[in-house]
Amino acid sequence: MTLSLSVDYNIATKEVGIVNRKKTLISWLICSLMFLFVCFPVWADDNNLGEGAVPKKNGQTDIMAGVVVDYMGKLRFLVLDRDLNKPITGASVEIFIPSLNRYVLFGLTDSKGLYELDVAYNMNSSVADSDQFIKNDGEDYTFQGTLVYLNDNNIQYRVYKAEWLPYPYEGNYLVKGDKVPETIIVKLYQKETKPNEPSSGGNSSGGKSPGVTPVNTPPTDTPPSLNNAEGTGTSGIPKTGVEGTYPYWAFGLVFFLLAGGTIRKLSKLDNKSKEKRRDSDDTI
Amino acid sequence: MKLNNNNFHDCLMFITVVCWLAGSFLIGMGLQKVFSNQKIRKEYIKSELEWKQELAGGKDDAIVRDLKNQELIKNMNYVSLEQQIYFEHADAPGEARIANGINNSFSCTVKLIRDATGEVIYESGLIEPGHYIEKIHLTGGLKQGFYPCTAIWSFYTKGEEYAGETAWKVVVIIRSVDKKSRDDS
Repeated sequence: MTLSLSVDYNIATKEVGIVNRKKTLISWLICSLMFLFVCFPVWADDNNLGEGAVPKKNGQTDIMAGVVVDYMGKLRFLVLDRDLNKPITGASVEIFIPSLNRYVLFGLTDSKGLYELDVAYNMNSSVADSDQFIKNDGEDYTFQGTLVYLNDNNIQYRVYKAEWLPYPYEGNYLVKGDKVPETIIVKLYQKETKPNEPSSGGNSSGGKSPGVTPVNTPPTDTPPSLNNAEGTGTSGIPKTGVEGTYPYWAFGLVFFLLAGGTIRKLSKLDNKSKEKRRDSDDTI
Repeated sequence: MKLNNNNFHDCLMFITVVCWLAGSFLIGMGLQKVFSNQKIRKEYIKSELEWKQELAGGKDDAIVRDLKNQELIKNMNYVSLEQQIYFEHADAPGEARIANGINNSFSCTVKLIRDATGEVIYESGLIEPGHYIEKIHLTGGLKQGFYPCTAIWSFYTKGEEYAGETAWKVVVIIRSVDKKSRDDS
């Protein structure tokens, strides 16, 4: 009798030992998983999101040798104060480069509010491909100075300066070639003044040209990026160490609260079952 | 009944573990963001670039952007490149005369990108102040013709920290058909 009791006791202690070992193992596994889940995002390298100029085949064509260039001249940006009609110095002029799919800085306006660059474009002249080649006349080529290749003669630009609205002023302009130089007048206003619709005009119609559908639509309503070439897309740097972390922590807290709730429920169930066991032991 | 209780118990255990892990992951993501924010701020404070230091000092993004653009345009006064680059044929060297003036405080690289296709037809190495590249060779085997291109100037500090980019428009002109075709004919 004593022998069978001691054997039962041994088996029971062994079973308890196995259960305890299982519990320890499971707890250890969960703890290590938790540790890994906490550390994984921290270890993950987020600085490898580089992007380069992706070659694009968008149907645009180069100007072949000898093709008649219909227009060659200055394109002028004139940036003015909308209310006082005075020139704004130091406004940045950026032009959208379809092949890069981003705006690139070309220059700043001078004390007269001007920034000039040379453009050439094709007036869709009905010259057959076979006639587009002229005799090689040595150095006498049509191109002079800086040149902007215009996608359907449509130039897409943005102009901006700190403390001036709209920030940035975005527009596209269809080069007509009827006047030289063609001028895009951009009117900006300061934050204190009433924000009416910005206007542009002069001998051209700056701003969004009606009926002009750009082939490559640049991103709109995005402030100029400080790191555009790096491909980060970030504007500025975090002002505080915890900027942008609150949503993660809030959701993390929600999950921990849920876990806490389920643990509470589990402990209640365990207590109930223990009470039941005690009651049943008492009755025995 | 006991089986159902056990199932319910297991289910709760499973939910607890899942919630714990999800919570841990999100807390980890938050920590990662904190570390990355601190890293960026440290980089900006230590930067050689004035506009980055100003930004780290809490100056307005728009003002800093103007400061950066002014710095870049100032650099453009020291660099030069032929705006029409002639090549006898695609494989021949062309006189591009890329130069970075000795007074420039930044090194630079130049990349020529074909406007029509986005193809990079030339990319220089780092050109330090006071150095120049006289002749360049193109890649891509262009045929005879005019090729409007964008020259992207990228500027770097002495510590090779990226400072920004500006652009120029240039035209690459291939005067005659490639050498091989000429030889064949």
